Amino acid sequence: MEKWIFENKLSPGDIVMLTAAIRDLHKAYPGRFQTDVRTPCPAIWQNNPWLTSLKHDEPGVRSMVCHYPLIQQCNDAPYHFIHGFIEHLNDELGLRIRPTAFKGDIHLSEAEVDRFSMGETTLDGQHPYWIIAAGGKYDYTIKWWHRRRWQAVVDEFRGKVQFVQVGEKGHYHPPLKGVLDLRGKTNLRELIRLVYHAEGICCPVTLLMHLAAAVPLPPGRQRLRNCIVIAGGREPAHWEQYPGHHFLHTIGQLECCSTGGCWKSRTVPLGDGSPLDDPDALCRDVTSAGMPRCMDMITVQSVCEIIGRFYLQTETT
Amino acid sequence: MLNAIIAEPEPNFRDPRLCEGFEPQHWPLCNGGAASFPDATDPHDRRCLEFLAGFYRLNLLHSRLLEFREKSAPEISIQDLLSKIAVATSDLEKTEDRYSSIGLFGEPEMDGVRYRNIVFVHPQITGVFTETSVSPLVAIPGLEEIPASELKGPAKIIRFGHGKVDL
Repeated sequence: MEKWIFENKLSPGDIVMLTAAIRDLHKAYPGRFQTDVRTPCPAIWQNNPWLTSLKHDEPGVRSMVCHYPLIQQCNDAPYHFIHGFIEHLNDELGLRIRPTAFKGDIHLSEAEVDRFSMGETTLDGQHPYWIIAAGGKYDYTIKWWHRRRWQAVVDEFRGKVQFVQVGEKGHYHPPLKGVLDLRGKTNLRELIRLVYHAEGICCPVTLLMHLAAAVPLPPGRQRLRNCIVIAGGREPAHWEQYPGHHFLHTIGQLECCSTGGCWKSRTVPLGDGSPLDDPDALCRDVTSAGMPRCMDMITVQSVCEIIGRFYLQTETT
Repeated sequence: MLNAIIAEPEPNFRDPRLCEGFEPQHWPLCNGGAASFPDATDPHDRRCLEFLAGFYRLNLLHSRLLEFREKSAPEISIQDLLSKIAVATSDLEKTEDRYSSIGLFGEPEMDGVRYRNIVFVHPQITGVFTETSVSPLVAIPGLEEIPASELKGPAKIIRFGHGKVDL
């Protein structure tokens, strides 16, 4: 039995991708490995059946930092983010792991499944809801859509769709009107439960889109969880998009993302001394409204049409 | 067309408090207190003043509109005021747009139709970037091909076309 501690210190979305790699490692090599992890956001690994508690100083325990160097080819090669850690493990450990599911691997306990999410509790369990994340971290401002557009989406469905706004405290999440405001009020497990019970999700490229796929569906639910991702031209769709997701992108439509994602970081410099302020990390095409042009090209109407189609289909059914 | 805008304070901004006919009762609070002085030089303060001036203008026009309606003023006068309100609203949105890329906006607290207080939400710039970046963990293809002798000494930053995926 090989004993490995896999390490990674990236953001929660990346860690969700690592859950897929660990799952697929065990499925490819049943009984050959014992695995543990050292990552931020340990809540992501709660209830994960593939982990065994290992310590660095135990005999026979080895460790490695997991990367996804495949990202360097992501614009051209036919790979999804889910292949990233898997290929790295294959290369480093001489394995032939293959993805077994097009999603990360999040597990809920029975108690978590049975309990209402915070959204349902607040809404008396009566109303289906969509999760909306109208912003993100301050260091990657290029991912932001304009707050008035998020508001316009909410307004369009006022009285028809209940939106629950989430976002981490300290990040940029401007308040929206007419939503259930859970910004800064959910820990990661609560966010996962919120996703579990949600009808759909509307967000930029962020953790939530990975959770939308990785969090299992409630029993009896047939349709994939809806997720509309306002993506623009930063990242190639085939690298990020999951089945059933609506990844609204502009790859191939602008000069700056004509052949792939630009992978820039910020719309304008923030003046915080970060290398993300470097000229080559800044958006090359900012509109007079202060948005990256690729994000500006994604209209409120296009988002509303997708949400509207979901309800049209639901009513027909 | 590439458009390199910078979210710097508007250099030609005129503080309405320095203008003739300023009506202080329509000037909103700033984060629950008094706004910076008109000659403030801090960029954040300057940006906030631009927002406050926009809300002041709307307060003033809304107040006039109420007066006109109470007096049953001619319809043409009311239409003129409504046009001015539309322009003032549009100008305020332009101010919002100007600073949206850095995450600054003013969230109004209302007293009826009056903007009583503007709460500003903005990044704590000095706290955004820390040296405890995860960048040392980003894979750097080709590193293994660089002779060990060149890997000594101060760290070198080499930029590639793709940044890390930061979610």
